[in-house]
Amino acid sequence: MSKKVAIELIGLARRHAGQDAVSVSVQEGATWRDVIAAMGQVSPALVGNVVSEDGRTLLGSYVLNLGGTRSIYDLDAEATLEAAARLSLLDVGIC
Amino acid sequence: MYGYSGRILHVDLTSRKTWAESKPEEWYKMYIGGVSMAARLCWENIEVGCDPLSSGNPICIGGGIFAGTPVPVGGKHGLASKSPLTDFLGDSLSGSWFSVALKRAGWDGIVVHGASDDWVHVSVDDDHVEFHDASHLLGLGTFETEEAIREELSDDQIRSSTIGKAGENLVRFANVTNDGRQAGRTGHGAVWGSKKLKSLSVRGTHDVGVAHPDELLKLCYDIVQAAQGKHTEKYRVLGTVSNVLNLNRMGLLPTRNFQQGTFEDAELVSGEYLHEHHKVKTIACAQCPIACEQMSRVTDGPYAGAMTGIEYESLFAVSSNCGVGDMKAAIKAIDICDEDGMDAMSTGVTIGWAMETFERGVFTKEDFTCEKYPEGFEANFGNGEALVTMAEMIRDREGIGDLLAEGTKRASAQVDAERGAETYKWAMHIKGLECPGYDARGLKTFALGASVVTRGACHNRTAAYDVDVKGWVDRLSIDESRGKLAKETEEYAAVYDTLPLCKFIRRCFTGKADREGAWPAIAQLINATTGWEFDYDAVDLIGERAHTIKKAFNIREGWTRADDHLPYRWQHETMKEGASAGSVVTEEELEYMKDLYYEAKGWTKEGLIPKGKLVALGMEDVAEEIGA
Repeated sequence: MSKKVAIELIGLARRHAGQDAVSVSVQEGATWRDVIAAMGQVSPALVGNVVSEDGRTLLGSYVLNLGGTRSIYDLDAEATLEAAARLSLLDVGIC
Repeated sequence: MYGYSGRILHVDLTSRKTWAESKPEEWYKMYIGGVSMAARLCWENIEVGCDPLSSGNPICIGGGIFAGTPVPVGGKHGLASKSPLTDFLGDSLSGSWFSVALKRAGWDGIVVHGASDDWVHVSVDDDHVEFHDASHLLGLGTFETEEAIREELSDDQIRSSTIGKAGENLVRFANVTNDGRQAGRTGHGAVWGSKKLKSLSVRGTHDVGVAHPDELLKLCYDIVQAAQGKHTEKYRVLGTVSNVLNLNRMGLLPTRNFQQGTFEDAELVSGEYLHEHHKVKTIACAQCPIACEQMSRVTDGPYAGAMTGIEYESLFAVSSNCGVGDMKAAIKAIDICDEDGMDAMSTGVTIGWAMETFERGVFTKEDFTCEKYPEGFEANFGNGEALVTMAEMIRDREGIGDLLAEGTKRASAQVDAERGAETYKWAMHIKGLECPGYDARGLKTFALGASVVTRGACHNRTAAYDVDVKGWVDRLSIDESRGKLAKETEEYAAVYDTLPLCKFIRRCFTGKADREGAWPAIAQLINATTGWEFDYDAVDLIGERAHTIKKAFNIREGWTRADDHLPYRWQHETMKEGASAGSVVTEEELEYMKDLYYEAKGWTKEGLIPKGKLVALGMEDVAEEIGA
């Protein structure tokens, strides 16, 4: 059984995708890495710019952020997707 | 010696004498350049305990090891004096052609002593130093002054560091400006103004010799290619202002003088909005292939014609922090700061304090009378015209601007003493320096890092927020790792600030920004430039020594553990909304983290540096004076 996940886009990711958010479908029990891969499939413009060419990781200082509170760092990407109040793709490189 | 001339230029404004000081190669291996060299020159040349606005406070400039070489983003220099805002070391960086001219003139650094009776501007043409009357330059903006000096000296290649009206008026957070870039934060412009030094100009004609030019060129080619690619695209396309929406989402965007962490009009003051409506072009510092500064312009309305480079830190301070969602007013306020040589961060945060003080009834409309508004004005949050007018009043020290020009710490102390108020509770500073654009209540590692920064509230001298926002630690709680993390991130930043190299290049060496990714490559650059044999550990020591000399300076000026503090608000008011709601940094949390930090540094529980630690770093003379 699949479910829809909406991801808010900010900054360069928004510019590359040409939209403020993307919506992806993932299976029950999917991991954060599955969400990353699905983002690249739904919005190919993100691949090579935000999502790695193999679709498995986020590039640079991009992180998935859950409810503004918790950043899903790459080490956590194999964890199972949690119910998200709001999922955002943030760029948190130091400025 | 390659990469250096081995000479420091000394200029005495009182006697109008100049002399050259030779430094041994070992001195350069210790202090390298940038903020570290400038801080060391301050250590050697200041009258200990002096008033920062007195003749005993030297202006110290530390050149860059890579200035004038092909190394990308190496065209920077450090500037240090005792800060009139903090009474501790004020150290700043600036990227500019001034740094390159200094190197080509055959000087590794400059120390300006004393004070002039009359306004003066000084030109350095290789070995020739000349003192010029500057009375005709008074009142000119920073950019106008640079142009006027080029014309006066008939030399369009001379590079000037200048002060504007704010520096002339001793605004305690006045900047020194060069080529449109700012040596900002800790009030260097006021120090220059106290010496009646309007400008320091340099023209250099020598070649810059490096030890292994072919190797250096090859290394640089690869880094430049990477620096024009994906690793830096964010900075190039949107600039640092892209931070606005990211921090707003995390509930960390300072809003209405740090009362909130989210701003309802964040989209209107975002990097995305700026790019679409106001951006003219991107511009770059000297030797920089990245080009991050977003030159932006207002084309209509009351602020039409305002144009300047916009960065996140200046933008947050005058927009969300003042509740202002009008990008045009924000650009105008920053333009005033840049043109007239005033730190936009401190300006915005001080105005935010004034707006809250007005809204709480301590200030009234009558406090804000000025030539433009003889009846006064409503200085409430969200009032863009009040923001712009207050920036002008601070610059000119007009009316209440005279108080605000003292900075948040001194202004609040004066108001509280005179009116029996408690405005210190919303005075957002650390050690007297106004806070940067990250609400530390929701970034616990950064809270520690910011509290211990030697120059006061600063995001550049501690990169501790990096581990918080990336989720490497739980940013909303503390644990025993934070002392070590604060140490490592501040020393990481100090390496870049010492070479100096812009931190935005950090991913371009190997694709990884951490020590393992960057230090070996930086060692290669140092070795190809100087012929030295630096390795990973030697690069790492650059950061520790740089931070240590700054801390030692502060200890000698009377620093105590109590000076490593946070603003009252961050310790006593929980965040009420957004993704960081419920966060505060308690007294117990901060003191516990400071213990961890001092221990990680190898310092005493009181934060002093043991003699043995200083000797191990090769700083025997420092150990003699302040070692515990």
